[in-house]
Amino acid sequence: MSTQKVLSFFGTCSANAELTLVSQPVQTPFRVIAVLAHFALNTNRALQLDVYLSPDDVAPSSGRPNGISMCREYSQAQYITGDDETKTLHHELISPTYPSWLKVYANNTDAFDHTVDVQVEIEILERD
Amino acid sequence: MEFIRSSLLKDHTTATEVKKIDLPVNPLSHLIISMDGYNATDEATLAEILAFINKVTVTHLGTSILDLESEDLAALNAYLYHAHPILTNNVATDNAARVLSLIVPFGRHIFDPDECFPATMKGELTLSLDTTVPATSFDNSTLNIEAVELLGAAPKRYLKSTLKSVAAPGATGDNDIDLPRGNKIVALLLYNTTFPSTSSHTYGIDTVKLLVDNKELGYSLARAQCLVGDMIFKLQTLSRDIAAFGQVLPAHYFWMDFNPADNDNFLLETKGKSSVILRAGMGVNEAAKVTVVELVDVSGA
Repeated sequence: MSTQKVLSFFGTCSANAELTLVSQPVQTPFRVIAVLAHFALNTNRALQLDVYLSPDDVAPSSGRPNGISMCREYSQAQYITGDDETKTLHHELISPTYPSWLKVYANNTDAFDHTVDVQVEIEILERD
Repeated sequence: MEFIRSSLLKDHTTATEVKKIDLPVNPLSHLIISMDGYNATDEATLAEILAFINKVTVTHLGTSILDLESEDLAALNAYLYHAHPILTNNVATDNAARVLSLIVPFGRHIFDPDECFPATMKGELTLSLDTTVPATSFDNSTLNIEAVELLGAAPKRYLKSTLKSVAAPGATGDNDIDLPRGNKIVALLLYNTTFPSTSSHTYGIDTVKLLVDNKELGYSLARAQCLVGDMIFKLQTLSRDIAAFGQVLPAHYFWMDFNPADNDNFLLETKGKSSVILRAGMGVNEAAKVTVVELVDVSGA
């Protein structure tokens, strides 16, 4: 029987700053099923988001976190943006390593603060 | 058995970029990354040249097989191959040609058909090289990358090497670091931000202890000074920290070896364990790095 979980990320990314939000440790292998990124009205595609699969829980105060970027694999740009919309990304990725952490990295290129509001759906997998 | 050594990147001008390269489809023994260039004014040290390669990442379908900063990869090379990475022409002459090579390993030994990365389909295995254009200490740099495939190999396991960043814990003393479970751990390479050079005995990580399922296992208590001493079993030259000594890596590293006799008798099995904790006694309240070197079983047994 598969068990699905939602990991929620919420914070405020200051103007012209970066922010990394870190999940609690996931102590089993898991599969990422989907990422839901909410962009508020007037974000104007100035808030850049990326999701990381990481072997640690460190959130650097600037720069990208350690780990593997989901947007880096085949993308042209290493982030997603939006404005007054929710983007649902059906990006499947298996994390065989445990514990591991999911991280949401935000880079706010705007002169105003913006809210980071992301949920990641995962499916818990059996340990070998 | 045959091997194929092929060129993946030829004389590519080093730039500030993330260069992505599809890796060959046959079982892979290792990659060779060479950065060459010229001294700018005086001798570019190993540390200065390494600084232009920010990160080396190999992923299989988006999951990391190797994900290390160049300094950590240099330390891993030193651990595995019992020698420092090759850096040629260590002279101070302006414009002297220099070559630094790093090996990206998929097994503890090169050309080992039992321990290498299994065959893949095109596009599944990718190398990402995050570089910065050299300047100030080193210039006119190009990159060359080659791969060694082992035709017909049917590996039983491969090497996985990932970097675990450790945040400053907030105080000196015990800092519990949750290690990954599921595979056999070969070694932990520990990077200390603080490595004593003058008038100090203090290391970033002063002591280490290993707790498996909350019981001490193997490393009941080891001190940094003696862990540095362990390098005699793997390296022919000492760790050095001061610029005048040549900045020979692994300057800020020591390791916890779970394969000290190279016979696999002491590999740390983490499969089925509830917790595997590295208890680091922090001599300084600061960040550290742990390179976790694992063996991933693909034998299907």
